[in-house]
Amino acid sequence: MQIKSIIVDDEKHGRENLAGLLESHCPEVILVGLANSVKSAIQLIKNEKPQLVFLDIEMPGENGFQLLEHFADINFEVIFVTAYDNYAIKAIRFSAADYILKPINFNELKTAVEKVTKRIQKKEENRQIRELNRNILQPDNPRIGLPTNDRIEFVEVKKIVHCKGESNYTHIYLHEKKHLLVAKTLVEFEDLLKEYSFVRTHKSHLVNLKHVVAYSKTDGGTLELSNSDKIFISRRRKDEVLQMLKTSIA
Amino acid sequence: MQIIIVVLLSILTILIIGLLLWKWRVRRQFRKEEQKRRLRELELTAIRSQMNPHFLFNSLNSVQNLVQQNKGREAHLYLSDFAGLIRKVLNNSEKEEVSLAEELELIRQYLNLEKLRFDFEFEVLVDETIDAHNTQVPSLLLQPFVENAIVHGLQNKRGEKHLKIDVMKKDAFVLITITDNGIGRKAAKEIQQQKNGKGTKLMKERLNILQQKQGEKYKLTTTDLEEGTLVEIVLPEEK
Repeated sequence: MQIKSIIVDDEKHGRENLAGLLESHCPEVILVGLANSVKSAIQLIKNEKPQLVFLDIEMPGENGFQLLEHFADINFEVIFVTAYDNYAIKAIRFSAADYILKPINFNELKTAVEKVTKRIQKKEENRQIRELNRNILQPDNPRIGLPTNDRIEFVEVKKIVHCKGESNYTHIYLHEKKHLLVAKTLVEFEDLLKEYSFVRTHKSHLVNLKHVVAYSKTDGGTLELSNSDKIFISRRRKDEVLQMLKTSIA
Repeated sequence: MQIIIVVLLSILTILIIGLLLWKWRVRRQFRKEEQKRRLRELELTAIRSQMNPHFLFNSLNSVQNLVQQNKGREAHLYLSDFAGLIRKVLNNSEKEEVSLAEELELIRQYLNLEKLRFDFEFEVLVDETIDAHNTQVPSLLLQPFVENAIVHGLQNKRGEKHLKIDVMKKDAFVLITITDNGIGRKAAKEIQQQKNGKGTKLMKERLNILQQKQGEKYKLTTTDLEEGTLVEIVLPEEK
């Protein structure tokens, strides 16, 4: 299979390096153009109709995310390419979109291209990008992308009651007793969710404080949640959890 | 009259007790703040020592050497490890603790880079009963001990050089051992006149403060082996 692609990056070395790596490691990727700004990329996408866009995020003028806002329907795949920007990487991970980091590791590049190729073959819609756009435009009620067995579920963050880590998987407990098993570590969820009033109460528990209905002192401290699950607070985290609970109620 | 004196005395006693209690609380609060501040300081020192210029530029130099020898693939992989290590140190710098899995990944990348400089073998073994993603450890816990083993133990040795990290379960605790077959602490001290083991001393202090704060016991011992050195770190179970 051949994948018609373009690279968008304001830096010449960035474009050349990625083009070179694609040539030697991803022969299925056929480059039909390079763009050095969002403006030139829009024209290039309209003319060439690529299936895949390698998109740098930090660029002078409009950034990579803003490029997407120019298209009502995004009918191409996107692999974000970024050096270091916590805000942008967080937004991408939140929506479970595909990205690679600079300096590029060819193994990571190959994995990302394989994932996208599968979606193109199955003619699946790239919902991650749509959700990413939505989250950026409506930051008050974000939806998080949860990759389960064979698909990605998008769930409103406020509906997550708590998460439980088990090896490199995480159990996500939603209200109404719904439950998902996701192939990501608890640490990743802690990173993404801590700004939405989630707190680690124990080495393997992450709790949404908005769902706490009661705190009891039994067994050194337990939180009762809206789905009537009871979560244990470890001794070393007790002060911090209670402090956060106080501020979240206030 | 007597009643008035008794009442006055009682009020005075209550006032004094109140004052003492208040003073005690303020002092406790102060000590807690002091502990927090020192912990933060030690974390920053740990980051700074990981980011020490000597290590950074010598690593880049090793990568340059690979480019010089036209070993493009190796250079690419080492550069990825280098970037990964710096990224992790930057990301973890705001965290007091990280998962054991993250810490071991960072150490693997660190070892890959140091291996390029000093040419030794290493292995990292984790007991399969340990859930490394859901075990928390102080950030950059292992690095100072591993650095000591390499720079003081293995660097000056001839012949086969080996470093091994074992993570095991010991009752309810996690035991991490770092074993090298280097020249040992005594010989290292003779070669290196300068102070060594500053990083490990600071880590010891950090573990001590954590122990006071959490009320859980950390243990750290260093043993001289017939050949090389053994460091044992025991982490308390999170209760």
